[in-house]
Amino acid sequence: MRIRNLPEAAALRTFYFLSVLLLSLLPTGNAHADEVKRRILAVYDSAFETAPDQTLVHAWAEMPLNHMGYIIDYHDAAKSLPDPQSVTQYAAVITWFTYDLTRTADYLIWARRVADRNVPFIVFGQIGAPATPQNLASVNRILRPMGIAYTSNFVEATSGTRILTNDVSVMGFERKLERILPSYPVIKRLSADAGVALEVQAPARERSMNSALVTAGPGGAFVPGAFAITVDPTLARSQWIVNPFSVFERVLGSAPFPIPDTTTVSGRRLYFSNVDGDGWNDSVEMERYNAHGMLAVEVAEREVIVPYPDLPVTVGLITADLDASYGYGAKASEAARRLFALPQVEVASHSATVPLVWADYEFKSRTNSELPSIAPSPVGADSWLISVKEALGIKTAVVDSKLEGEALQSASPSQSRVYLRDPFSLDEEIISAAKQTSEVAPAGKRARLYTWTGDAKPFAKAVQATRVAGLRNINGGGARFDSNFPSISYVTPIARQVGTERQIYSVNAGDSSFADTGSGSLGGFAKLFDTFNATEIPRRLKGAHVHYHIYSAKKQGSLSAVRRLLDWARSARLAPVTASEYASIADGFFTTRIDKTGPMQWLVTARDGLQTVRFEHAEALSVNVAKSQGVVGSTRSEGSLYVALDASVTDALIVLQSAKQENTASHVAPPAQLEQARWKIRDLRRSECGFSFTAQGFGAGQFEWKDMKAAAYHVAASSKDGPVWEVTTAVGREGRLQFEIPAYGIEPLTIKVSCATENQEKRS
Amino acid sequence: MKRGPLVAAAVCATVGVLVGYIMIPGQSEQLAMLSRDELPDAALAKANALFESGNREPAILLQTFALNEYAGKYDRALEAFRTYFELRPDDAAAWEKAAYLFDSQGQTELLKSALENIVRLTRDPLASGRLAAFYRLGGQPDDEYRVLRAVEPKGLLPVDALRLASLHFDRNEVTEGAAIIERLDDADTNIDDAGRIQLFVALLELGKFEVAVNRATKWTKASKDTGLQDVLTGYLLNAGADEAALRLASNAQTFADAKGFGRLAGLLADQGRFDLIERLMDDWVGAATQLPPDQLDSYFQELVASASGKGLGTRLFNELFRALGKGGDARIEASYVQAMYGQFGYGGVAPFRKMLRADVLLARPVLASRLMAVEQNSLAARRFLFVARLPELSASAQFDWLALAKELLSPQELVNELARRARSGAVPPEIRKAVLDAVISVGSQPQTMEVWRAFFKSS
Repeated sequence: MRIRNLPEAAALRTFYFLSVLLLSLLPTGNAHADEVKRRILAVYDSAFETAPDQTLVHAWAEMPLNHMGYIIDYHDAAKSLPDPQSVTQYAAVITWFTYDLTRTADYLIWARRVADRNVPFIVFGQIGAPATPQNLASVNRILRPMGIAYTSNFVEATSGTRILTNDVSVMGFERKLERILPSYPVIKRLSADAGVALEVQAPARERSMNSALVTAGPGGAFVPGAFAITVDPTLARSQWIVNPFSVFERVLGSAPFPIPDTTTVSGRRLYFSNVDGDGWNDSVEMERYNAHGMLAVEVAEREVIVPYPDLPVTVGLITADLDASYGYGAKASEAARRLFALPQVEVASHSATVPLVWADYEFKSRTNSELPSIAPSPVGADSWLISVKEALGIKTAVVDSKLEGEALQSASPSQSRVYLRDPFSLDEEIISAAKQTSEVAPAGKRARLYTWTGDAKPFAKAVQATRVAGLRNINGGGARFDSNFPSISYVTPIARQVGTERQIYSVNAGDSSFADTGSGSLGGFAKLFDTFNATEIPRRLKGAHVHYHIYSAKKQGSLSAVRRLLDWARSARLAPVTASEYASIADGFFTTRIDKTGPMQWLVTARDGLQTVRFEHAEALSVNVAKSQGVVGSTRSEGSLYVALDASVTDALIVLQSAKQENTASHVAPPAQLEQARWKIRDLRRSECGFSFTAQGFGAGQFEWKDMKAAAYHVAASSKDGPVWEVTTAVGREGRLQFEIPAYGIEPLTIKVSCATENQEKRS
Repeated sequence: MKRGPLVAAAVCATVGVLVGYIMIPGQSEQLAMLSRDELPDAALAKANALFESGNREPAILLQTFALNEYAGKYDRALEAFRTYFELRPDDAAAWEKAAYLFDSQGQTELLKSALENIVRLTRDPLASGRLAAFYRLGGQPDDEYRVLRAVEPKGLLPVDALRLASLHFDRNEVTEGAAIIERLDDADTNIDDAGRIQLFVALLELGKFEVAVNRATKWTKASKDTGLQDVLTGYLLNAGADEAALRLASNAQTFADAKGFGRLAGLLADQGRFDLIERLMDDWVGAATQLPPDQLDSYFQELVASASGKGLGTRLFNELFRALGKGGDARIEASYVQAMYGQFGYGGVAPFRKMLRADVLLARPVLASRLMAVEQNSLAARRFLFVARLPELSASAQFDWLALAKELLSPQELVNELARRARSGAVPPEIRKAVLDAVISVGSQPQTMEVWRAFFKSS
């Protein structure tokens, strides 16, 4: 509309301006909300570490920071450095250089400016610039807030070094300091209250200089590489010397805030499983199946999928495995249809042609030049026999290894995919593959997840393509933490930043990671138990994830290992979810926004699939359920308080109180809340005596509620088709209500808990 | 009836039965045959049946282990293995097989136990190194030390040998630790600097200064990196072995390389050892005087820049000047003063300005003129300007001279001086254009023509 009357237009403009001004001054729901800073800037130099996932920050520091709720944004200093003012949005800057940066001078100027804005630096390894007299001033501007100063002195022969300070809350986390220290720089302590965790006095030959080798405090942290992590030269195994959680906490603070948690659902450690389709059409070695010509997928179906209806499993199909032109018969497709029809099976795509090296397809599509690299393996199913015979000391007839070797050599160097009939196409690999996979699934089911193949290092456009196709994504990474990998340094972060996208990593290492040195039986996969245990206690770092391949069904040893893991999952106190649900939880870690709206209260929004937040060191804290909104319940584990949120409440408000306060205010009965459950819970509605909610999950629905009034309760579950199950039970003075619904919860059930008397009245 | 055929038949039958009996495959062979015939389930069942029936034949126990392990039945597999090793605890080959299988299963504790037995039975250095690494990982230095010592040090991999040396040093077994690294060094094993430093320090502790310096000289000569030499020299100085320190420090490489000399001088200055700098200088002056003049200038420029880059104090520069002065060679002193002026300006020369002799100043008249000008001694400045002989100056000094002449002389004096030099043919070709420009800008046309003609004539 064109305004002709100019004075009128001016009046309208004035009115509009005043309206905007007034509106901006009006109080809002979170008028005093401060967004909790959860982002940390990691600076690296692509001349030395080619991509974010190649950095030591990603390898070693990102997982502990993720666990503490922080997201890492990577920035390549070789290209540019961000505006120092924009860095104030970050909780800290982290670096882990083993080199001097390409643009040292630019970096030092930038770092000084950032330090001047009171953004703490967490420096592992080297400073990133040589300690020349010209650089020292800048370097020490970064270190000054930590209360230390770098010098150009270095102690090479360390024997005779005297330990002056060794704070055990920081030092000796997985590996104690060696009695003979590695060589070290001389770092002066500037103030008595600097957070020095390790200070030494050099031997007389080094002029007995004192050096503050490990420092961590609110002003930042500096840990020279050799004092952060040690890598064994023989076994190539890394172990932390410093406690990274402690170092980070000293810098970032220990004040409680709701940490988005990817390990827990409904108060229980989450569990999920995904099986990649590789080996779908392979023949198996066990006589009882081999004699009938069964495919590996059929054995997997019979041995590890059908017998476990209580455990969800996500099956990733490679569409080429059903392609008749590759020589595959109807059995392969029939198996896929049967599997996808099982209620506990979630449908996923594991590509069309199995890219093995994703980076090879980032900038150009491969063409028919890949075709010659197809080569059949002459060994095939006989490999088990050779292994056993070798173990028994029986000499076997030599396979024509020359022929085999030549065939493989011609194949391996250029082979970046398994199926090479058609040129590579990203659309075919992701969008079409997912569509074709969904077509194999019964009505109402479709592919919800894309599971990365091969090296599982997709490029940004590939990750983006999964998002465009409406798929979550997973694979790559994967934790291993056992006697052979005895360190949290082998527990991977939640995701990998690739361009502006994020690839969600596997939670645990898969079966193929357990053929450590060679027999290839994958039977060592059962050792995943050690990782389950080590990532649960003393802190729950990860959920429980069983990731295997169809080819695990080829051999009895590997099949037995999978069965042992599933048997454990069946009996353990877990909350099983699908792999795509986990991926949505992991995605939620990065989208969740937390605003502090008052003392001990936070607004938690944009959570995606993530519905658990955790408070660390929360022994003295509890949730004030009455004042909170969207809180289903809370539970404690290893000193942490896990708070389950209601997915149906977009803006969840969490109010904490001291546990003492909770006890003393006993004259007002707190609302009932969930302690733990096997199923996911949403739409919780509390009433005067009881509550109702919607629940969905796998296996029998086990629930435990607390803070209930002592009374008799009627519990009833119903599906959209009508009542499913009911029971009347009494809650004693301990206020706990436990019940188990022996019904299918894969389709959501509505569960109503009400006072038995109230229920009787309604019935009558 | 003859009995012969009957006997023969009986013998044949007996032999046949015996041969047949002998040829019946044993239990172990039957298991192997089942495996060979791709019947692992049958082989496993038979092996387990034999085991449960109390059969403790070693070969069958091994097969029982392998078949169960392959089938993922670890409890039974381990039971069979334990039983086997109760019977044959010294079967090294079986322990090796066990180690391989435990390794592939990621059974670290069992693997360590197998490796312990391999080391016990075979003294295999590779097994020892691997086992030691596991102990290291577990923070068990005493066990690590024990297994590394269980084998001949000569057989250990260098990385394990160096580690054992470290563990010896940690226990104050300096002689043993040093002997291990010396053996590696003698065998031309490429030891890293950390190992060399360990050995060097150990040798000093043992009072073997001569041996230490000889080894260090070998290392430093073979390396372009001078860092190690600095560190070792520092240790010798701290140990009071000044002679040895100087011997190590003053190898020919150091004198040929200005940066190296600056670095060494800096190291001594850093330790407050100006007495040693003085001694070092005497040797160094002898070497420096052998350099041609142009190289001498760049040598000093590099030395001063390098020492300045290290943030060394003025005392070092003064010491350098003092040492040069002892040689009495004005050319060398002047070259150094020029470098100092180039790096720091007048402030760099001021501390020893009063010590500059006339012959040193005359060796660099343009510099001398500049110094006098800064000191506002225009008379002396002009004097040095006039005595400077342009053809004897470097190109850059010629331009410096012209710039200085423009500052110190009036326009008329400048034109007259330039014309005088042009007439006498004392203006080198490199600077003629600049001289002509200067004359054009301040002189008359005849003066310009005069200079022009002089240049034309002399060319």
